[in-house]
Amino acid sequence: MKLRIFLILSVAAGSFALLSMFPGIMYPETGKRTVEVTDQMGRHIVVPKSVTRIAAFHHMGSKIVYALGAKNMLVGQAFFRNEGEAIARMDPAFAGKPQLLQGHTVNNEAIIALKPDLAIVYASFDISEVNRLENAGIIVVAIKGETFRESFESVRLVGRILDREKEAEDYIAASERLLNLTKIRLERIPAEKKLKVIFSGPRNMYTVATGEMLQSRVLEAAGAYNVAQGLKGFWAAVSPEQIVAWNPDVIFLGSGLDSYGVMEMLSNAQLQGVKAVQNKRIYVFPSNVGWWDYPAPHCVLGTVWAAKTLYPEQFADIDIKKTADEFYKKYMGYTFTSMGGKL
Amino acid sequence: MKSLKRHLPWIIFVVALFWSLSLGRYAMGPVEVIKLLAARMGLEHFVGHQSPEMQLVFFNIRLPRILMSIAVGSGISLAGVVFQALFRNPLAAPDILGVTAGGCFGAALSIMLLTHLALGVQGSAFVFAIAAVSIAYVIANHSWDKSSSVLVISGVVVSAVFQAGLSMLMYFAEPYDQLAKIVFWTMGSFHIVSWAQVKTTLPLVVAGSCLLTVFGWRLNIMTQNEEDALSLGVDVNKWRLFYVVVSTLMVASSVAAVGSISWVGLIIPHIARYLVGADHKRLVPATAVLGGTFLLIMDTIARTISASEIPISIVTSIFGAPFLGYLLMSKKGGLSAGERAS
Repeated sequence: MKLRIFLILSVAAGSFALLSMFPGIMYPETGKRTVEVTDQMGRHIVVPKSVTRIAAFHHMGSKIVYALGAKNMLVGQAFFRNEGEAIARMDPAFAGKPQLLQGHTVNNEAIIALKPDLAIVYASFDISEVNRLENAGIIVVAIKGETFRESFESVRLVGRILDREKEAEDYIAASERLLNLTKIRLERIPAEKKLKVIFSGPRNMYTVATGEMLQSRVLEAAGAYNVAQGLKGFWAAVSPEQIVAWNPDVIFLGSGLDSYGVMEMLSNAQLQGVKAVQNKRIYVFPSNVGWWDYPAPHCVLGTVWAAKTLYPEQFADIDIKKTADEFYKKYMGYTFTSMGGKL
Repeated sequence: MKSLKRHLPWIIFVVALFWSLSLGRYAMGPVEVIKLLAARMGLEHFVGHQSPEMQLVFFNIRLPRILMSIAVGSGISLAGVVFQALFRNPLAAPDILGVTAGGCFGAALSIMLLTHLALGVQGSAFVFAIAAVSIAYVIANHSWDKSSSVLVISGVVVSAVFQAGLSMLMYFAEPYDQLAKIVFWTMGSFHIVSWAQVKTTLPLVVAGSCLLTVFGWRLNIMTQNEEDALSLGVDVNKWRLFYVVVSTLMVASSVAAVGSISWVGLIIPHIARYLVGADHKRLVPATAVLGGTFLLIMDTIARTISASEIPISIVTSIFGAPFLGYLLMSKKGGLSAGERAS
């Protein structure tokens, strides 16, 4: 019996000694040339300048990496559904890359096997997952894009880390140009003529974007007033009565929807008193190859599209498809049309 | 005094109904509601014409929702009183045989696979809710022990399996769209109710309630020992099947239309017992009225208190749970009343 206890103890001590001989397994060695940044979770991080392999867990991270011309560094896919499928059709190298997320869950072993130097996560990512990735020797940077300013900050942050600051400023400038183009045209519209809108969400037609969501910022920049602005949280459920009481001029539907559409809303007996339904002003937000109402600088395209949809006469000279084609070509590598994009 | 106590459920119901009809996010007070109803009954000449928008809100949005909350509240409370009597257990709730777990699984499955079908979610939830209870019944029937507690255990087994199935579906659901829909559905809500749901749910609930009210007196015998019931010439198994089928149909159609709603089926029978006593002849109708009233009031709170809707189960739990606590401390009511039926 004593011998058995002795054997077990010596095996345990042996394994511990063996593990401690390889500290690199648990603790990453940081290179000498580093860049120090504060990410958008407010964490101070030190990143070596030799980053070559990036794991992005959110499409915003991937979009920024693409826009900065570093798409070959991505070790996995991080574009949602239609957008991922569209890119996979264009790029066999992308199609061959693995998916890093299953639902909200990360398979740590699979990630570590891909040997990324850097992981880009969204600021709402589970902090315990961040800690697990860091314990595995992967440096994690969090980005956020609930406002335009935050989106541009994310681009600057990733630009600094990848030493592509010039590309980052170029991407931001192009996005700001589109916002300004909209702003100048909207100045001609008096405040009392601004349209009242709601943005219906994915659960059902009675869930609306609140004032805390990016959709509200996009609509605001497009010269509209989100009547659900005072609500808090994420896609708030409201009663049909509330929608009739708000009486919006225009209703936008989220582009990720598959359970209801314009026709269902127009024929809904409960909403016949709503101006948007009476005047048939219900529009599905683009696009079929990646959402324009979702955190990422690409949502500036959503702003231009929404502004033109709301006030067509002010934007008669703007061709949205052409604008999108140019923006996509420069910052995704393919034109919007060639990806199969439709408005 | 005693007759006031007996009529109290009806008085509360009428007051709550009128209060609820004149409350909502769309401003419409009691006067407008009376005018709207009078105009619809052909008295337009006296009360004047009401705006079409107001008519639309009242008749297409508010009224179906109110009818639905009353029907669902009555239905699941009646199922609660039946199950508490059948299983001689004060903690028996309508979902004890797996009807809710089955319904939620069916709804989630449909949200993931059949989103394009009109009433697809409702239909699938209904079918799976019935399937869950049927499986529980078949398992119990194959047991050598024919007592009602075996049925409860097989209900637990079936619930566990469907719960696991639901969790698995949620794991595979697309998080930005389907998962949000499933989570919202499992919490229950009346804000999607239209006449389409009322038409599919109300007939079953009304028919079930009538049947249970007519045959409610037999539950007094069912609460007794099975040997005693047999000695009175009552075929316990046959009647148990009857009550389970009727209750299940009512709960399944409710769950299918508005999602799972907690607490109502458990607590309302106890409140009713406190008011009218444990004799099922009076207890069954009182439970139906109180259940309808309770859910009507809770849903009115859920839809009016803020611009965004509060999931109904949160409201029913916040108000229902402390009330059950109060009853536990009260000397007059008492949870064991279910076993003291005369």
